[in-house]
Amino acid sequence: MRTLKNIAYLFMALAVVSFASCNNDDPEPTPTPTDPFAGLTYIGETSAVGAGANVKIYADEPLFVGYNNIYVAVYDSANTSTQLTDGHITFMPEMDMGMHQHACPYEDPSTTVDATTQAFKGAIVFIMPSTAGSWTLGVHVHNHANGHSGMAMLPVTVVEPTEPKLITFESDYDQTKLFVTRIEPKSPEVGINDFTLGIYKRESMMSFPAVDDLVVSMEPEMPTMGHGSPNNVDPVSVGNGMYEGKVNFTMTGYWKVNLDFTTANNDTVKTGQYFDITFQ
Amino acid sequence: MNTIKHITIAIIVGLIFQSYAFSQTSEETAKIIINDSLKSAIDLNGVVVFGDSVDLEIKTLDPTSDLRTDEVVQELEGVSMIRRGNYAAEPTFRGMSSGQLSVTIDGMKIFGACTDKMDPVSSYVSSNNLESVSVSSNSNHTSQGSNVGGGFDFQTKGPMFSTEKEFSGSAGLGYQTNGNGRLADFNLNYGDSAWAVNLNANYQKFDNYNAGGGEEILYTQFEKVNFALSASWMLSSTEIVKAQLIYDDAYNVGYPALPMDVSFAGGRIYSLSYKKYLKKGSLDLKAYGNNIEHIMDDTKREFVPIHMDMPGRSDTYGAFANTKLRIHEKHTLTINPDYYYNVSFADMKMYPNDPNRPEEPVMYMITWPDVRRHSGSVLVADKFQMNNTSTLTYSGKIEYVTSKVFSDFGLRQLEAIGKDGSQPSSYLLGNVDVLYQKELNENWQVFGQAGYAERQPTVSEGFGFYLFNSMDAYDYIGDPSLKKEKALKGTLGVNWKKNFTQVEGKVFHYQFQDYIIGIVDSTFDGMTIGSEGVKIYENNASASISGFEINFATQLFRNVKFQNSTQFSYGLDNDKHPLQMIPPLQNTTKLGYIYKSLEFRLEAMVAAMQNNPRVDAGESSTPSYGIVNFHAQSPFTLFNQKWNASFRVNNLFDANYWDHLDWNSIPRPGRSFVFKLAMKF
Repeated sequence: MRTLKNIAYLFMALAVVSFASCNNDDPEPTPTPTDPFAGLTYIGETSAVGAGANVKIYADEPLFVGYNNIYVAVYDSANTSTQLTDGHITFMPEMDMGMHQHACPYEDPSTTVDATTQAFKGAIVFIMPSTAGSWTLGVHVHNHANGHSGMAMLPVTVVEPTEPKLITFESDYDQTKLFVTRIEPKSPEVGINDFTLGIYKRESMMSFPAVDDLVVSMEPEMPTMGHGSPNNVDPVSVGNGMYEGKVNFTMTGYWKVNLDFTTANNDTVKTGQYFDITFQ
Repeated sequence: MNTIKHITIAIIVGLIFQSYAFSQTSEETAKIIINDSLKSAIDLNGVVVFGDSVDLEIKTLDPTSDLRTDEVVQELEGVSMIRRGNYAAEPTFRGMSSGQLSVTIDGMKIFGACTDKMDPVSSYVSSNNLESVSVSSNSNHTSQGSNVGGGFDFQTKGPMFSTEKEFSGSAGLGYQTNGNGRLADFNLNYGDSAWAVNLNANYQKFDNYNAGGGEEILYTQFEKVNFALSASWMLSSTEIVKAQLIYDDAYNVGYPALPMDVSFAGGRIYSLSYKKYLKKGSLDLKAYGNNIEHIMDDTKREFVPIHMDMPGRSDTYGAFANTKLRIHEKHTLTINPDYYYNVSFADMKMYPNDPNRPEEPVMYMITWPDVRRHSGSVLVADKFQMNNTSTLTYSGKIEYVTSKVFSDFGLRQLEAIGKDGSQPSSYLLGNVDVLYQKELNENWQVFGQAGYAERQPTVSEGFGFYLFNSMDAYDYIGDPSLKKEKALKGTLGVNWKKNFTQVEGKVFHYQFQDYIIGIVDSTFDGMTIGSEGVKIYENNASASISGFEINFATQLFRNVKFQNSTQFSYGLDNDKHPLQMIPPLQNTTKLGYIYKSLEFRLEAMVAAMQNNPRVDAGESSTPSYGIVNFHAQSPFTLFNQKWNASFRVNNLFDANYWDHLDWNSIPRPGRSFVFKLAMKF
């Protein structure tokens, strides 16, 4: 009997040990943000003369050379606390370089309203920094509340990011000037990352339409170590100039994502292009 | 006085019971007893001795031996060592290693903290603190953890109670010529009838050694210090409580076969145990923990393309019970419940050094992604004394083990290579083992052992991320969805003894299913600079290892003993390609001679050529070799003080050689003279 008792004690002791080694890591509850624009960067504001509206411009981060999400919050000019969500918004970005002017690729918000901010959401691909001239962001507002239209003109500053997010080259196939911007990953991390490119061409100084018929092959590499990573997915066109794929980073540090572009018929458009992506 | 006598009897009974219990399974067990106290029951190198009548042991060790732990383990039958340098050789048994074997120190589960297996568990104990080392092919030999190949158990010296002399101990100093080795050890025991405390210390420092012929082998230096403190308290005449602490530090350890060395490897091992002698058995309870830290270092290498920091940690906590009960005059029952918890974490920082990119940040990745493993098991064994000549020992163990990745970073890494580590990897493992032995007559004994065993993948096999193996120059990646490895195994043995001669032979076969092995995946790039590519751990449908062991021991004259042992293993994978790290045919001859108090030992070891290398594992054929060692020792009295002097010559003929299991064919040490003087008090 004493033996049985001893064994019983033992199991109790084991139970205590097993309990002691389980720990509960309850995650901290995250506070819900109250300001819908929290987390966005305020770019500036002006009035859309004629539309009876003021516009406030926000972006994900200070404007840079590359693909910028642009949020256009429209307010009634008579009652500035009233945010207008019924309207039609188009962009007219322009770079003034003194001798000449040009635009850049963009995606009009049109009637699209962002759920969180109730702002009209579009995108602009700035193709050079403000050091080369001066950028003005033209926003055309058609205010459905009063049926009037007007133009807001906001001078903006565009910086060159530390690691370029835009590459520009001339097609070896048809000599078109092409603009390739890296949209994703925005915050690269170890593991699988979305890899999204936006590809546009220069048709004229004011027209930069999307290019949807290229074939992209992508290969990440870590030049310092001389290795790549497995299981990457080449970006493929999904329309609107967007090409979606997956890139894998197996460690933090400096990665070089190599890109080759061909036509659907496998004619070389450009090889040896790359984006540097460094993260910690 | 009566109580003291009672206590003494209790201890003796306990020891006898324990050694008796060991001898029950010793037919498959090779064991080295270092401390003399238990010598009668089991002898060296797996030669089974029935009773005390014949002692064919040729003494290898005295308690203040200058041998290192890996050199002691190497003496065991069936054991070969994988060497990556002059330190911490990794023991293999019959061609099986690491995850296939269970390794415990005093029954405690310990896992090395190095992703590159540079710190086998045996490196955290010191040889002068060892009481015994045993190896068994029985997966239930140690109750801790499932394994397919069997296991090693290291028993450390405990404190000794005494009724006569309260303080005793020894202090020794030694020097080894090859490698400028400085050795020192110390042991102090305090024991009365209720308390016993033991402090053991060991220090070794070596520079680079020279291979046979004189060539200096760079990066073979090391420095190691080991302290062990243990205390026992006799609670009552049948109960003992024991506390134990081992503190082991190694510094500046060179690994010539690897691109990196080790700046620090530290083990902290502690336990609290309780033992009770029952009327018909015994009960042992133990709670323990150990914290292993391992830091690799490349700062002393000449050619370092990228400086790296590679620290690793392994923390294990557990508790178990060993219950032995003689439930019937013919049945002795063992019930061992066991629980342990392990956390393994290792990461890697790589420091870019391109002068054109001074802003380039440190590269970081996690190689063991905070894997937390819980294991619970129960072992039940019965020894059935069928009649005067036959015994049947059968055992079964069931284990549930579950492992989960707790690092989000690590999970994303696994995801990046197409592996899902988000769910726990759990295994239900079963092991059964049956041993039948029969004494045919006074000269002949036969035995047969059969078992089925399963094991879970190791942390590296399940979750490792680009672990570089410098033997085959591949980076290894784990797979959390690996199946458990299974083995059917059998051993047949025969033992003959007459007068002063004994011969024993064993043949064995292991048939593996879902054998875990690294297979090249050419869709992956190697990560390490200089790596050939990536191997991913996979289950190979089947594999097998077979072989034999033969031992011959005789007493030529009253004071001359002769022993010869041969071992051989042969391993094939599913495609009939040789398995890696399979030792060649080996033969060891030992000749022992005692003249008055002087003991001499001459040892010759030969290994055949291994011409079945696994080429895709970086192996090539290894030439045969032979070495001769000589050892002499004698106790003497000087200034009313007991001393022991020993003199050893390793590799007498300065052979330049390496074994098939030595990574990258780094030559082993050439001739070396070892002097050791120890004072005993």
